[in-house]
Amino acid sequence: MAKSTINQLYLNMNELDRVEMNEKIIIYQPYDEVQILLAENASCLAVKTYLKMLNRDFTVKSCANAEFMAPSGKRTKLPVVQIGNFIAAEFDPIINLFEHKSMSLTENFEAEDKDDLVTYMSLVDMILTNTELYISWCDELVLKEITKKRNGSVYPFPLNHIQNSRKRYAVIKQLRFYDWANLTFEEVVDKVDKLCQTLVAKLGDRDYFFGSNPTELDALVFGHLFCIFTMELPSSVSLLKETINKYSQLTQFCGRIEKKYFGKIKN
Amino acid sequence: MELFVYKGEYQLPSIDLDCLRVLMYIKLADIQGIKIRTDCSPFHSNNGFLPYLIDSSDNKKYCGYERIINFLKKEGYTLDGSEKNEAYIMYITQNLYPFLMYQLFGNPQNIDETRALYALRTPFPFNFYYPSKYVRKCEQVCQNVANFSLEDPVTAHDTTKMEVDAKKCLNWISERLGNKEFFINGSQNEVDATIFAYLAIILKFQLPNNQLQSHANQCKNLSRYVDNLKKKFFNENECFESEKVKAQNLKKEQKVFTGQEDEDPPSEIRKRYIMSGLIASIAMFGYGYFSGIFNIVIAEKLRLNEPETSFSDFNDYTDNDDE
Repeated sequence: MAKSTINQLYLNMNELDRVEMNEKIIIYQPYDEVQILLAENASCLAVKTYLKMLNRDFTVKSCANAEFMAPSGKRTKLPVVQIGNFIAAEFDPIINLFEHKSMSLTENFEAEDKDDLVTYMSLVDMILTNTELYISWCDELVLKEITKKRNGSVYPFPLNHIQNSRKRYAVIKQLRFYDWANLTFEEVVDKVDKLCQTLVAKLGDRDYFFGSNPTELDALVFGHLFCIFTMELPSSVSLLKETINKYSQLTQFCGRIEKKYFGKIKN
Repeated sequence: MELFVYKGEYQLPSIDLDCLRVLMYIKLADIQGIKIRTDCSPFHSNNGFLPYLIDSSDNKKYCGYERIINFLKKEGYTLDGSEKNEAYIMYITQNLYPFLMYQLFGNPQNIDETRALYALRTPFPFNFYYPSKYVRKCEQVCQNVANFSLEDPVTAHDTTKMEVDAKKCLNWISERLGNKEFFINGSQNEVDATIFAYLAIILKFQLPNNQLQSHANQCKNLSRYVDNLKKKFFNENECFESEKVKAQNLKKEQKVFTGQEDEDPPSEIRKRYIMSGLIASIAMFGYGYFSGIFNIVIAEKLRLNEPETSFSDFNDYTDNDDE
């Protein structure tokens, strides 16, 4: 069947083959304290968690223009990851790279588990990223109090307004594409609630989503949920946090991963 | 309850993706008492797209696939589903939707065909406007997924990534499906409605350029799945095929037998040549006559009048003849 040609095209073998895996990994992201937004923070944290799960060392470089360094990517375009000559943005291409080098966390997975992994990841990625973008850019209060200040913080006076409206326009366009732009906050929370139910059912009482070892899905879910937990949000949108907090399995799950992979930083 | 959808074509119950999804969901969940109507216009929908559903008890309107399904679920019309449903639907949508959208509304070879399909099903004067909403939606998809605009020249339409994603997804469906009747554990699920809608459009539409169709045709179980479900849940008069398409199909079938149905017999061609030659010369002479390039003068009249100098030779000749 036409399958082999597809795989070849998709992975772009030659390019990926040339990547030297023992080179240093550098992650570029916006400034943690002042600039970074909810969705960007989540996707950066997911990548960092993934690399930690793989036991790879990496350096984080903060720079104001990280978003504009991205060669590709369709959602937040962050973080930008550099391994030698290989530069990619967002979670997907990085997973692809490690998978291609047979170094991924799910090397010995059965076909069915792999299916689940891929489908759950696309579900989590789509719903949580959209929720974060929605909260940051469509809620009037958050937009005024947090998003505009943070996003504009690195630009001088007239440019910050231009950049804010430019980015807001782009985000709204993205949300419209997913039919999310006209939803009410309650509907968004409803979707998150449903997602949490699905995740809890998948998690069961295991340590990780696929048994006792972490996978890409764990990294992704942790990245998003942890950011929503820890981000300071005004009370008008606190319903979101409360909704996720209802599911004690998920909060425990986040605590477990935080302790295991990020414990040293905190103490 | 009344459900408003686009009328079908190519032996399908509807031409629109979301309409098909809703219709299939209704059939899968075996919901009775919903009247399906095709005599409607997107003008009455809140978001400008079909399908929409009107709950006759309180006249509330639900537009779009998700709202309709949520309403139906609230009413108790659920399918016993696995929790994976949502994830599967999302995965399929993310991978198949962009390229299918591009194929239908972005590809310059197909756009006329699909626009006509939608326009024919929308009453005047809305038929000039509403089909273009789909094109605009497609534009959004292209800008979001592949960073090009439909107004760019065709050579700049970089659809490789979309195409590969879509074909990979078709392979995945085909592999997971195997020879089963339904997608998950052999029982009816919400995801079947989505897969059926996508595959039906991919396999049944007759477009000038349909790359996904040729790919899907390679996986035999996909077309078997669609045909089975169609036969099982929709009866003949729910599916629709216009006379024009029927005629086209018939012609195609005949083509297989004779090989040259398109060419007219030589006598027809000769007749056409003669006719066109005649019409052309009538037009030319007519133009020449009325603009005064030449005159037609009848000889008898000339003899009665004073002979003109230019015709003297001619007169002389006739005179001589008389003598």
